[in-house]
Amino acid sequence: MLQRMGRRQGALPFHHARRDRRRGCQLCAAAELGTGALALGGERAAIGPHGVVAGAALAFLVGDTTGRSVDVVRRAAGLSSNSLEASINRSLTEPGVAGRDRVEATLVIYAALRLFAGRLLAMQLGPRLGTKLSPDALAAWHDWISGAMKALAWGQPR
Amino acid sequence: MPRPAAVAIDSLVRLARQLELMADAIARLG
Repeated sequence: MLQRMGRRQGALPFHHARRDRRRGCQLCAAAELGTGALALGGERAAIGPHGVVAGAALAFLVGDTTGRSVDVVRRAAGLSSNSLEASINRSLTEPGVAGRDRVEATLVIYAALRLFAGRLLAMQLGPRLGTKLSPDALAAWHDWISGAMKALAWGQPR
Repeated sequence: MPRPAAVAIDSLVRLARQLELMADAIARLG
């Protein structure tokens, strides 16, 4: 059922003009990663865009990217979360379509992703929060968190 | 008032905790 929902929502959302997509827009690419991949990998697919946000937000803290760039990928991650939420709502209103264990595990992933995104945003907006850690320490956290999110999303070794 | 470095570390640990929860849930999904 979740795969069915993902496929139905696989079309890109309304936010972007077609001509921008042809230019290889980062937002559209990330949105396709989130919404399209739901059809292929279920719950795992929503994790991918959030991993991109984590990498961008931590890069922002060390001054490697701009806040605007983080906002772009964050929007895409939000869309993927919304897709996952719609899948959960559907499974809750259609009892028996998805097993209880599967729904519970999906809810855990959904809640964790929301908390994850909120914490990253707090870190980004916190005044000089990132500068209180050494660049090497932040880089190590960046690599570990990005790698772990990729591993969860695509099953790569951590 | 919390020290910024401690807050930053706390935030990173919270991220790690969310990762752990997701990993457990993924394992349950199989």
